Amino acid sequence: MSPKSIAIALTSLLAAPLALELGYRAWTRAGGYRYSASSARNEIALVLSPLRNARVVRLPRDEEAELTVQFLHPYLGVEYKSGPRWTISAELFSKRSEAEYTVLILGGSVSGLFASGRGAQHLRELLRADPLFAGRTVRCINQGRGGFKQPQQLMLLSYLFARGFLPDMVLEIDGFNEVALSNDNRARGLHPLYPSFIPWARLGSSGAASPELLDAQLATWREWRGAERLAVSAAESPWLHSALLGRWTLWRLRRMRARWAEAQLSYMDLFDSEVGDEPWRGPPFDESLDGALGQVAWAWKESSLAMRAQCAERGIDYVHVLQPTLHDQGSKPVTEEELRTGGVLESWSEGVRSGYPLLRKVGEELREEGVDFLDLSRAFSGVEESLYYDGCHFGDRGNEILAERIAEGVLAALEREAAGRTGDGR
Amino acid sequence: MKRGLLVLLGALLGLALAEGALRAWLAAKGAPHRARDAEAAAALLIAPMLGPIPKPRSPLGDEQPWSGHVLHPYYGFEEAASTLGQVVIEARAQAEAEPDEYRVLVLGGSVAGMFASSAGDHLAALLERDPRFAGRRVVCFNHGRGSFKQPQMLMLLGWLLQLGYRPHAVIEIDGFNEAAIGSSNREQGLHPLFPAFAPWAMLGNPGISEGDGLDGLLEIHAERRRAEAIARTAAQRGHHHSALLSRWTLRRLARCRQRWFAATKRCSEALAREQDLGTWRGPPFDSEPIACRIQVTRAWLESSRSMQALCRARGIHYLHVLQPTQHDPGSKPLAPAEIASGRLSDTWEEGIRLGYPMLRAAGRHLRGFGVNFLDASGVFERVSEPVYVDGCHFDRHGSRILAERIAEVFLASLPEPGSTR
Repeated sequence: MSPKSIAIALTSLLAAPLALELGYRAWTRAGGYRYSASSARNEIALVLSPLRNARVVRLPRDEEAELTVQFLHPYLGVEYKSGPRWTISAELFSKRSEAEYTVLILGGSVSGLFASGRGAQHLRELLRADPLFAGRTVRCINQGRGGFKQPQQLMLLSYLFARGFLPDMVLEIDGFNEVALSNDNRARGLHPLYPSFIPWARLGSSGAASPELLDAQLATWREWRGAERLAVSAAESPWLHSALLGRWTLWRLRRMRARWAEAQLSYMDLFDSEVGDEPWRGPPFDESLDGALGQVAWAWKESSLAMRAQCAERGIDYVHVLQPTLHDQGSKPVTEEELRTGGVLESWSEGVRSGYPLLRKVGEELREEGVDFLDLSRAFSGVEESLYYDGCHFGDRGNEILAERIAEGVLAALEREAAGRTGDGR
Repeated sequence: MKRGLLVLLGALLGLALAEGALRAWLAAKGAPHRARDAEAAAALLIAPMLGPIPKPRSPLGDEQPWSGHVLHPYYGFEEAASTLGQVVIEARAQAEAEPDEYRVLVLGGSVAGMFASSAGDHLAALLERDPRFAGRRVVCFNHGRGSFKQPQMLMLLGWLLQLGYRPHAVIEIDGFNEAAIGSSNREQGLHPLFPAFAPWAMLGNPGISEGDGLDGLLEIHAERRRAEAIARTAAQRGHHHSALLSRWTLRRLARCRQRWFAATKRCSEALAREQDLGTWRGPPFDSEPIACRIQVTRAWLESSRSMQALCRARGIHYLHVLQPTQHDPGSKPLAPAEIASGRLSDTWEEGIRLGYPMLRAAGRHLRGFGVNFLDASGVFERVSEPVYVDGCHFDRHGSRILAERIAEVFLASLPEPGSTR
């Protein structure tokens, strides 16, 4: 082989990946997708979000870089702690100035993501722009917790009041976990009003550790640790600057996530069969779908009334929002991408399908009883673009839309209150 | 082909030579290779790894003082598994009860529980005598729980209402546990608003469940499985007959065991960390005694306000009673028998001595918030005969005296005759 042939072969070898990279970028751009390393990083975080919600994956340069642990809490069932940081910190109890209007945001992970990101940011902007908030700052305090469902938020609010916390407004955003996770509880023989199955069975039962169960747990552990290693190495290497390598990494992570979800399901089923009928499953309950969801909807209403009553006792404004969710039929034109990424357990989708109409109906009753209730389950009904990145969570655009609708509702409630107030000075 | 065969034969010959040389060397050292010894060595290496794996949480043994208690997600624990179902039965019965039934729910710690069981009927009879209860039957539902303190009663009330419980009145009797147990929790490094130390340390400590502990537990299991696989393969293929293969197997097993040991150590350390600085102890708190008492008093006051709010929203009459206790100076002329049987730990006694004046002051604030508050801490002020049976509980006679005072204030605080529903 002549030196020229070797040079041509080497050049081709180097040029081929470059051509592939450029070709792939051109092809994806033509399809309306523009690849960037930062968007790939975000996508990695999204793909891993269920594992992060399950508190098993740490990502570098992430606010959750330190492993978040779940532990038993006497009044909330389950609580989180990230590294040395407690979710209820001393900072929560300090008001920075009299001009500060504090909004305590409660609910599940959708509420938590709203409060920690673009949703709360946009809500603050919208409220500050209104003359009602002239000269005041708005601070949103995030107390949304992954997997929380009523009456956990009621208990959390009661506990925060007992500890002396006094916000100006309580904003409760919920709905999905109440019907989806409660129905999953029902299917697994755990009381629907108890905390969701995975954390409560693991922490609240006396546990099980047969070799078979540990095998199943080991399988999930291998997947999550593998995903963690891959995500960390991808984030620290220059791979993500290549569209091809970036997409390949994402593809591998998606496969790991799918295997993790499958392993997690097997583990839960086995765990369920091993831990038996212990008292951690709670009192007896109506195990039929209609019976259990009826009880859930009733308790959801009771919890909201109880939260409103405790707020009213302290002169605190209270607004209750029914969140939108992908599996609520007719709530949004579902895109192909959302269809692809939005799969959930059958018990969850069944809970949403049967439970959301009940929540809407009960929400009307709440409104009749004077609660500032906002049914935002159809907030995305006219949105054609993809908003959801999994079965229940949505990104910045969805949170912006939600913030706009919440701001409208909050301002209307405050105006009503101001009109009805006889000058109590707050 | 021929060359390949030669390489293969050479390799086999090399292995046979190595096997022979190793055997000769071992024999010269006085430890000749024996298949039986190799098998035994492998079994010895693997044996510790096959021991029981620690359970994530161990159920309480019968010998434990809090055995029988079960975790509850919203108020820490329940006294017995059967009580979980009992409240559902009661809630269902209340939904179908006769309209003439007037239900009084009694909440609090063990004193409230003993009051309801020994003087609940007396209280009911006293209320029934009032013309506003004419033709009605008063029934007391006892949900006092040993060691309960605020905010446990607030959470219990919230849960009972969630289950459909519909009392006409709620009487909350408390004070002792808040002052005494709040102080001992502080001393034992448990958040003063968390449930009492002893039951919560037993029930709320999850053992290995998360983070490094769980990683360690699973690594232990992974190494055990790996060792089992190596030993099984070696046995099936007869590695113990070869000095070379058995040494290779033993080396692999030894490495597994090293990793297993390291994982075991990590797991134990994580568990010890959890025990020492465990999340079950709750968030950090100001451990200064005065700061702790202020926190306990504020929680007591705020919990009562929340209970009132829950009741008011449902048209339930609410009365909050500060219970008497013999360690509150001047609250009763103590008989020698009461002094003899009434000794408590210094922490509890101090908690009451310093905490009760704060609770009384907070009680006045509660009245300012519109709460029907009865300061019954001096209800035995003029009772010279013994009523206390130990450091905090009183007998039936004492309970009846308290019932009379409660009935008086309860009736006086009922706003309108129509409010008895």
